[in-house]
Amino acid sequence: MKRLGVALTLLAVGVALLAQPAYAHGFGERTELPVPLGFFLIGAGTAVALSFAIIGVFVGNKSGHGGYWQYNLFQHRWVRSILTSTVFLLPLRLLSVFLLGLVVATGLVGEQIPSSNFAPTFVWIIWWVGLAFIVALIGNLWGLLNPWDILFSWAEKLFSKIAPGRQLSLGWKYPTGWGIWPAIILFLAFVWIQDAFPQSDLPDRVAIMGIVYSVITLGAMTLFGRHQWLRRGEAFSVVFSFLARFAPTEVRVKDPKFCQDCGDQCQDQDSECINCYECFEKAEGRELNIRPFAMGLSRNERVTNDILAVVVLLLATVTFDGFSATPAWVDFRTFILDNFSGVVSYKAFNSLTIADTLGVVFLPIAFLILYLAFSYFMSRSVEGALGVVAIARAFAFSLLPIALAYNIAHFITLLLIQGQLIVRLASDPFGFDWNLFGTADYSIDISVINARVLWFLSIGVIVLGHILAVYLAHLVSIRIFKDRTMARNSQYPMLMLMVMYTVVSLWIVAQPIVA
Amino acid sequence: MNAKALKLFALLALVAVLITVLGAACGGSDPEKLNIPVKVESGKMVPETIKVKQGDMVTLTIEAEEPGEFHLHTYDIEMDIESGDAAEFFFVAEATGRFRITFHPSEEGGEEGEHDGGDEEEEHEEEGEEEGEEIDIGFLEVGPR
Repeated sequence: MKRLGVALTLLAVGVALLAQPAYAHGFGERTELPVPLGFFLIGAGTAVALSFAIIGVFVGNKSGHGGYWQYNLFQHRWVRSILTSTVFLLPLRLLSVFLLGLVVATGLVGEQIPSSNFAPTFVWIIWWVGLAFIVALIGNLWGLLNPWDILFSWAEKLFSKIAPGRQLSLGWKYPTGWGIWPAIILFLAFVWIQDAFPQSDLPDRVAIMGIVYSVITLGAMTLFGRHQWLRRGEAFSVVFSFLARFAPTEVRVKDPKFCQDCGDQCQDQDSECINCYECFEKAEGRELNIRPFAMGLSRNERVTNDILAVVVLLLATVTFDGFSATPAWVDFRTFILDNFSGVVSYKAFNSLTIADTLGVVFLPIAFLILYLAFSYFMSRSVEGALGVVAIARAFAFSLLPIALAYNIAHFITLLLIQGQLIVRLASDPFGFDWNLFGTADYSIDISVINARVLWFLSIGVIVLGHILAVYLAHLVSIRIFKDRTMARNSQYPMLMLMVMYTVVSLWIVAQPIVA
Repeated sequence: MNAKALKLFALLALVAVLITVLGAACGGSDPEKLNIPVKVESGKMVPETIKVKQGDMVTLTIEAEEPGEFHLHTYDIEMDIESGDAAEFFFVAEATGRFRITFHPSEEGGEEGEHDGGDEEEEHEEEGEEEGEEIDIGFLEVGPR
């Protein structure tokens, strides 16, 4: 833990040293119109009405047995042989490693203007926003594309050729108490850079972030082993694995016994072995399944406090990213600015950074307290049949669809409009007036998405996310409470919490974006 | 469960149809030719938000107290404004959205009071020759028709 702290301090210092105020001109500029009141009201009303409809329709009519419909794509030999062939995988891996290198190179050497440099657009929009969408809506491509995973496994192979019989990893025992906290801390640092650090879109800052993170990741892989770190310390593998639970695809190891031995704690409590890449790499009976959306969140998993923390963190940070651009937050920032502007005068960190840091740190805490409060009400409504924390853990995953839906509503314009910059930057990644593919003069088509379509989409997606969340919570309640009445009673507080969260999401998309 | 699920999806479909009908009901009118005068006064645009609808053919007549560059973001329209002179520019509001409008005063080292960082000159100017601070003066809102 101490080593991690040191690394994080180095990260902060390293980035701060480069602090030089500059214009973050036109990068990632949000242009969406706020959703009108009518849409907001219809959305909120629909969410509330459907919530009760679901409880009415489903209660008493579903067995507590888990499991969901699956279709194994690997049963077709050609699908299997294409997707697992080197001809298919090697170019992807080379591309991924190349892109990491390109981000670092363009960020350090290229023109220091966010919109004329490949690094900021690629990292903040294409990778962080775009890949998150793909992981949640298609499947966990990050497991395939993670450049640090690829680099390290290449190094491992090379090492075993040079020194046969020896391992590259030092094989330190990963302290069990750490759980996935290292990933949580790294992710929090990443979110802080995204939301609070001044001018995090400057190319050199993006590059430094990439370098520091590469050193941490590859270093920790050397100490603890590749898979140990990927599952517990690599922030994006961990975060994307949460989003991938929503996705309509999964990889599964058929033989549950195999999963017991190949990696620790890969199995869930129904002895299923899903999205466990360590086992999947070695297993014989492999499946690539299509499954219904969101059902990966209904599995009977062992939820520990660190997992609960990731869920709360995801809920809070996604919301904060939108909330921090609302007039309400800007008023708060102004308040901080007026009262504390003299407190910190170091030029990289001004009082706005402080306000945003407070948001990044305290919003998750506020969410956790609120969630625990509602878990307490749920525990009361089942007369204490289950404790507060046990309930909080059991229902954690069911809240994710709301956050995911809001994330889509919040970022879709950014991806569709500002994301187009990548067409231009592909031809001129350094901003040196190159024209590699003849697209250097591409100008952004700002009318790709009409405001009305966007409003429907935003409201529709948020309401849909809400419905899925209510449905998932319902499945969980039936699984954990044997008694039907208890299951239903437990859902009223949960429903209130979900309606609140959905209405907050809707409220944010109905706010004009300032900041 | 299947019959019940079907009911739920029927309900969902009904709501979706309802929303679409409601949405479609409030559309429909022809693009207009608009002439909108705006002023840049003490770091703000008057009116602060220009509201038009998609497809409108807009002529902005801009007056400014001090000379500088008027910049409509994302549409990427830039106009040099002389003080005292009204400048006009024409554009078709093709894209819906809420777009930032900024103003760069063209005086040397314009010291508009910003509280924090960001007032050091950049080595490379991305656009425009002005060295002054870019000030947010208002928004253009293009609503759907």
